[in-house]
Amino acid sequence: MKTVKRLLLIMLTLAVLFPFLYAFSSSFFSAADFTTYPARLFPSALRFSNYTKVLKHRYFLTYVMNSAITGTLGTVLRLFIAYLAAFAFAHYRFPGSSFLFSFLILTMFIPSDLLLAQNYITIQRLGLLDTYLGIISTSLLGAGQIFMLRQFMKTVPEEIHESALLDGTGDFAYMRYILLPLSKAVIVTLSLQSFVGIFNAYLWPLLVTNKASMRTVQVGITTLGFSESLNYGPTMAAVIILFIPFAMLFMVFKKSILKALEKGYLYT
Amino acid sequence: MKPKQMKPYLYLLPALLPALLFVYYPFIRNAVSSFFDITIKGELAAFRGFGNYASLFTDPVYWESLKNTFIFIIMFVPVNTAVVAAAVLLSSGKGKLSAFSQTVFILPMTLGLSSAALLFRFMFNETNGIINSIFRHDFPWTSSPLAAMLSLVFLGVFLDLALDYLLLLSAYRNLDRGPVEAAMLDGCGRAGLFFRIKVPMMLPTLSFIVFMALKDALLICAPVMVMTEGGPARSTQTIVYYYYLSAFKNAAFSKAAAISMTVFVMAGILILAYKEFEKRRITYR
Repeated sequence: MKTVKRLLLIMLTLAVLFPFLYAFSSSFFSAADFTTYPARLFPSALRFSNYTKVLKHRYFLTYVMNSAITGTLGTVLRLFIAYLAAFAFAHYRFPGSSFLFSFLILTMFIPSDLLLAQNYITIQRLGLLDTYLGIISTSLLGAGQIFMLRQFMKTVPEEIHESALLDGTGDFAYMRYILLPLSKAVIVTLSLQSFVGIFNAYLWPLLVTNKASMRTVQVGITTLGFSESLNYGPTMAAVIILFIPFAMLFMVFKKSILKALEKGYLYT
Repeated sequence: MKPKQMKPYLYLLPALLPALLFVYYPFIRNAVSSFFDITIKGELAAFRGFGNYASLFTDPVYWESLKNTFIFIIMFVPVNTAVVAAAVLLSSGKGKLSAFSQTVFILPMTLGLSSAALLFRFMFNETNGIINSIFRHDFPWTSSPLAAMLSLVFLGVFLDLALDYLLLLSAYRNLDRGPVEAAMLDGCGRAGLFFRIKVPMMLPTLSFIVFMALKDALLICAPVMVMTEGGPARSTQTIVYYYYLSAFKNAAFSKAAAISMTVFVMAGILILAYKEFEKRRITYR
């Protein structure tokens, strides 16, 4: 029984790992390696020409840069907006608060992919096509983040806020110097999730960017121009180049992700 | 209103603006658009009543896309649930292998959607792909509708694995030991313990995962775009991909609006059904 279980686990793990291993292996393929039949598992020689080709590509590094900028900008703005909103919901009682809360949370249940055309028209009219703001516009509101942060802030005793107010500490000072250090773990996890999501977004950035110089990397990778031929080498090299920093990021934060999850601070 | 009472509203303003501008306004505009002719520029022209819907419901491609979506749902949801459950049950131990597997199962989260789709497209190449080479069999991944759909299911499972796995793993680990130990004292066998105690206790998380899988499957679009482009012969063209094509390739905005309204209704029904299910579910506490 135990051996069967181990064997099954090894098989499943290999199945999930295989795409990564194969992407790595094929990133060293020569053009000829792609045409051998049956398909080969390992490159005929270790060569880095695919990597140099990608890195020398006119736009690849621009794509990466655009993704890094939109990912960072989008995450910071989204977290800031969510943090403020969550603070209002957690620490204030005001008329309409439960309505406004539902109003914001309901946005999670309206699939954004079905609003692509309408949002495209909006962005076009605002003149935001081919801009960073256009790319991150639809990611600014993170209802899930608001929900999670509010849940967390509710566990912070209200007395701390009240005594801070009595001491003459303003809301912003309280948020910055008292609440922020307390929420660090939650914010790190939510930011990581946000950053990966916006960095890797595909459909929306594809629509609102026309200039190659404004494309994000997941859009750019499909238009690298190598994939029309059977030569997937440079594309796989690009996949690996993108994968490595994220894999490292996840290894570093694996523990805090798991911890946040156990407390229920992660959402889909 | 005193300035002090204004404060919470001011804090909410930055969240309310994008909610209005990018969710509620387009939603309402979309609903209105579905009853009008729309110009290329996206402006309302002649009122058509239910005309757009009438022509949609007589459009065979609409029904075909809907049928494809349901085939995908039927294939994807059970496979996804089974894989996630297996991954959790097999890797919940404490050994080195389990720790390694846990890391592997969350790795797909780091691969972007289109990276993964390109990779799978390459692996599932019909004439010269590595999958056919490993299994020494010519699976018709790109020429048979069912095989193409299956390759898309594999991609879908791969893309959703990490988060589903994390959710179910933490539910499994946080199982309340009380009922489990009580059942063991009562002489409950391993199978009984598993099916009568552990599974019901994990049901809330399991049903959430199934619900999310249903929703994702209903709305699948981008993986189709990159991996199969709806082929062969439109057999993997799903409903949201048809919406996308109508709006952005055929500039048929009113048709796109009508399509998305019907999908909104389906998604709404799904959400309400899930809430109802959650309400009626017997809670084990």
